[in-house]
This record gives sequence, C-alpha cells and structure tokens, in this order.
Amino acid sequence: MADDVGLRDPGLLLLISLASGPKHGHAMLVDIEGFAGARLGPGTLYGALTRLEQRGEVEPLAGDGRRRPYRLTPAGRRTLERRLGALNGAVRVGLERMRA
Amino acid sequence: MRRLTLMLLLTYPRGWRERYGPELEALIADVGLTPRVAVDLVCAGLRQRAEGSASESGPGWALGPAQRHPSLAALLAAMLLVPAAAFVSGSLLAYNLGVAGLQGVMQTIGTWLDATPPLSVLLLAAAPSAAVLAAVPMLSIGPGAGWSVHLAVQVRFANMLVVAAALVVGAVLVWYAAGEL
Repeated sequence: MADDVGLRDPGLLLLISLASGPKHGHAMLVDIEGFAGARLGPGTLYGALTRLEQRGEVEPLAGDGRRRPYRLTPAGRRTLERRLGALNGAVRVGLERMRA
Repeated sequence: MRRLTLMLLLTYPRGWRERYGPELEALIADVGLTPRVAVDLVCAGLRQRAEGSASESGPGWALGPAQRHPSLAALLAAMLLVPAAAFVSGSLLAYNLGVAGLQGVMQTIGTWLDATPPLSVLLLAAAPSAAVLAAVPMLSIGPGAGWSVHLAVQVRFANMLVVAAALVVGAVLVWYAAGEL
C-alpha cells in the first residue's frame, strides 16, 4: 500500500507517525504499518531516525534507555507540513485531471 | 540470538553503535531477528558507514582498518620500509659516495640476496607496499553522481612523508635492478 501511494520515504513515514505524539521504535513500526501498509525494517527505521535527528527534526525523550521515545521538533513539524503540502498539491492536480 | 544481533550491529560505525546500538538491539528483540531483518540491518549498517565517512571527510567509503588508524598505518608502513631503505642507503654510501668501510658489508648482503631470490622480491615489494599502506588513509573513495566514483585526498603529514620515502626507495631499487639486467 505504501508503494501504491508513493510513500517510499521512511523519513516522511516517520515524521507522519510522530505527528500524533512521541513514540519509541516498535510503536513507530506498528503505526507506520497501520496507516501506510509499509513494513519497515529496524535498520531502515533507525537510519531514517538518525538523519532526522541530525537535521534537528526529531529529538529523543528520556526513556528507560533501551526503549527511548522520540518526538517531532518544531523544525520537524514545519518539514512535515511542507512535504505534505507538496504531496497534497500533487494529489489535487492528479484528481482534477482524472475528472477532466 | 543476542550474539547474532551484536554481530550484525558490527556493520555500523562504532560511534553510531554507542549512541543508537542499545535502542536498536531492544527493537530487534521486540520484532524478532528474521532473515529479512538481518538483511535490512546489514544494508542499513553499511549505508550508515558510507554516510559517516562522508560526513567526516567528504563522500566516501571506509577502506578498512588503515583508514581508521592513519598514524598506525604510517608507522607500520615505515617499519616495512626500513630494511629496503637501509639497503638503499648502504648501497648509495658504499658505491656512489665511496665509503670504503661499507663496501664489504654491502657486497656480503648483495651476495646473500642473489642467493635467496624470495628475499630480493620481498625487498623490491616492500617499497610499493609501504607506499600503498601509508597512502590509503589519505584517500576517500565514494559514490559520485550516477555511476561515477568520487576520489578525494586528505593530506596527512606522517603518511605523506612515508609515501615520499617509499617512492624514493622504490625508484632507487628499480634503478639498481635495471642496472643488474
């Protein structure tokens, strides 16, 4: 399903998942599979998480050390709004062209 | 299973493992270590290495232990070069500068080398091997645009010195070898 709607970018899937609140790794995987049908591997998830944290778009919260939750930062929320806006624009154009 | 997980995590750079390793290990314990997860980990770990190398010294792939320990590589290369450098110095002093006291010693060594061809080959191979060993930590090779390969050189004084010495020693040895033919 994720591929069907062009959602192949783990970073975007992760930002969408964290938009509903902080989550740890396993909760993110379950959530992403639920809303996008994409089964990300743990390595892929943490690769995307590393890049997002380096860009200041997500940040870790205090956890029990081994299962640390992450949350969106204001910069991450802005990135998500911008990317979803672009995606939404493409979807709107596509739908209009289908109806025409 | 934990041992296998830890082995797979070795594909990641050490700094990354120290920061994210325990979290990733806990996540693998949650989802289970299937073949699909193992492949995902190895691919992600190698990608992390490539990205880590790129952030430290431009886009590049790590070229093994020599690149992680450049000074040690320079030291090992210098040690590898010592016998060849001593032979070249002794020969130059004895035959080109006419130091009489060394001529007997060098003649004995020359006869010994002629009698044991593998040693002569090792002596000749020492210089290029030392040059490569010292040069590797200064090179960064990585993916460029499309199918191209990006090559960058980061100058390190000790490694540069050993490479220069190895090239000089190698050139003199080739000159001697050509004279023998």
